[in-house]
Amino acid sequence: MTASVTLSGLRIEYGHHVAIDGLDLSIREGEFVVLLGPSGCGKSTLLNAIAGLEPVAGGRIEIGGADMTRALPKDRGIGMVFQSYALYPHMSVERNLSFALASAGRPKREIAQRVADVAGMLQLTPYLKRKPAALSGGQRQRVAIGRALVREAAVFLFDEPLSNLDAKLRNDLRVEIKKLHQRIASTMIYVTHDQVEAMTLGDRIAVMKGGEIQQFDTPEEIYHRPANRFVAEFMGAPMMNFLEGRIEGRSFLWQGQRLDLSGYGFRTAPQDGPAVLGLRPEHVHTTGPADGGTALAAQITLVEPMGPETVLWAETGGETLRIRAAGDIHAEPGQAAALAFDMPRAALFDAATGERL
Amino acid sequence: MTRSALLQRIALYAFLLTAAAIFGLPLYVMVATSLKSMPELRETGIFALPRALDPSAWRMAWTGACTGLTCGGISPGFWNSVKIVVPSVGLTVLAGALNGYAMTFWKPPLSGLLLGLMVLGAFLPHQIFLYPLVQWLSAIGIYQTLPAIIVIHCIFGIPLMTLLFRGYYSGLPRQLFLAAQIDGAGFWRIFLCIMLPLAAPVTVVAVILQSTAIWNDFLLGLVFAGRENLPMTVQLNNIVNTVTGERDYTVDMAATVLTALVPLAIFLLSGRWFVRGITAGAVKG
Ligand SMILES: Nc1ncnc2c1ncn2[C@@H]1O[C@H](COP(=O)(O)OP(=O)(O)OP(=O)(O)O)[C@@H](O)[C@H]1O
Ligand SMILES: [Mg+2]
Repeated sequence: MTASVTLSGLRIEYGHHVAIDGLDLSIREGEFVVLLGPSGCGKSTLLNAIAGLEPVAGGRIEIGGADMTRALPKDRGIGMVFQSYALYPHMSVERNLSFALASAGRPKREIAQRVADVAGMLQLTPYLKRKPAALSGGQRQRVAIGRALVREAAVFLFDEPLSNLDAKLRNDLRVEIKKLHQRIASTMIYVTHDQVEAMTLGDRIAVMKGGEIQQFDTPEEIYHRPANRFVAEFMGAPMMNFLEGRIEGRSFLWQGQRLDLSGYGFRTAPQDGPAVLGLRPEHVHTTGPADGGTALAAQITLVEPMGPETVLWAETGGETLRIRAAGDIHAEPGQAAALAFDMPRAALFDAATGERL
Repeated sequence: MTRSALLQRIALYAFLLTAAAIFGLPLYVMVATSLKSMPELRETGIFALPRALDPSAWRMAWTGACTGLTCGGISPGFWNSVKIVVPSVGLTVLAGALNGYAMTFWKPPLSGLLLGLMVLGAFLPHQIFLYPLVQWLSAIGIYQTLPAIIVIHCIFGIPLMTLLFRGYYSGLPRQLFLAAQIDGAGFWRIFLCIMLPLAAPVTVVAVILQSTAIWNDFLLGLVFAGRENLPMTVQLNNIVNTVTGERDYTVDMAATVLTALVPLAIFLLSGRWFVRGITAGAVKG
């Protein structure tokens, strides 16, 4: 089962505080959408509104084409997984899984069948008689996912489901969730502030800030063509480098250097004036220009070996740049380096508004 | 063990033994006296051990002592108290649990004001309300009946019970409540299947607090229960104060111990639960 989700002009208030004001979002059937943003930006608020757990002050929520703005949570065809699992502590895994179906008054045989199916799918069968307290964190989260699954929901809502788990489990369950999506093909809306989860899971990512969606696009677009400086800063670790300079004609002037912009895809015809150049660490090369372009003399100040890659910090003209280099590079602090920028893949932002140029 | 640690230990035990004596001695005197006869009591004084275990004072206190004009012992009072305590405790605890649940999770309009009133109701001295309540109960025609005293205990008990449960419920993760809503449970199903079972520890505390308080009540029972339903505490007072001929201290003591037996038993049997319930924090997992 699957359904589209359309939010239009959504407004949510907490007393006098407006958490979300006039938000539009259109999610296709079967799509995996990630809501990403810093703490307090309104991700949970938005998810709770879709679930019907938060009253809506204005706007419209459609699920599967039907107006659900005022519908009860149980009538929306949704399943939800919470950050703290929110399992019923006094009930066995089996009863946790069957609670929703029992609430809906389904026949006993059907309930038993559904619970057995879901438990099998999530490898929970050996634990059906246990209480949540006797489960590991990963098992608990699987029960929480199972509780959403038994309802055969068309839309699944996840609120930071993996953030209470350790790194290894997080990776395992992330893969499980992705496989689950491929198998059941329901629409999924997934809240996180972890970029790796966002990039790996999302068909599309909605980056949020202060209750507004900054950019809603595929992971590739978000990473490679961020719509504004906030998105560029938020996505990617180590962080993008930002160089403040000027546009003049087809060049970017920075620290007396004239960087060539002829390969850059401007959205509108560029105007001369102050601007910010954004460069991903992997778009700064230490090997010098391959094609005889501009080389920048720099000094390496810090080396962080990560295994598959090495992050270098290099100083040039009073600015420190982050550089992603090969894992087997031999670099020492104090060493000189000749830097080259991969200009066609850079991002240019308006100095005042931070919007992409 | 160092010298100062040893001294500390000794001081601690000295304090504990003194405290135990202060609380234990009266109890010992009561029990010992109740097992003596009057001549023996006069002869040996109040601190001596009883020579033989003579249950006649207990029998007298339970079935024969005079409480005012009738001489049926304290047993009718015991049963009256049971008839008052059981429904009152059941109703106040259940209503408190329900109120606390509704106020915590459903946040009805004006719940702030409601909470303020509850606090007022829980902590204002009850005597203030005595006269208006007498008037009101007379007006509706149940003054000095069993229902009257039960209603009164409910009125005075529910605010405190509500606060107790509200405090407990606000410590539970709200996502439990949200998850139950997603699962399609309504107001009553969430209460009965999830919130009430989860509140078991605080329910134990509530039942102990309420049953002890209502069992020990004297004033409200005297004013509202009526002649037929006087609770055990009032009857005990009548026994002790009814003097026909020689005052029999052994019977007085036996009746007192009998009256104290119920709260005592509750504490002894459930003390561990009580502590556990008070210290039980939010439910994890
Ligand atoms: N019950 C509430 N009453 C008042 N304000 C609230 C309430 N819940 C959330 N807010 C406010 O709404 C805004 C969005 O909160 P929300 O919980 O949606 O953030 P979030 O993006 O989920 O953050 P996090 O990543 O920390 O979970 C915040 O500014 C928060 O302070
Ligand atoms: Mg959140």
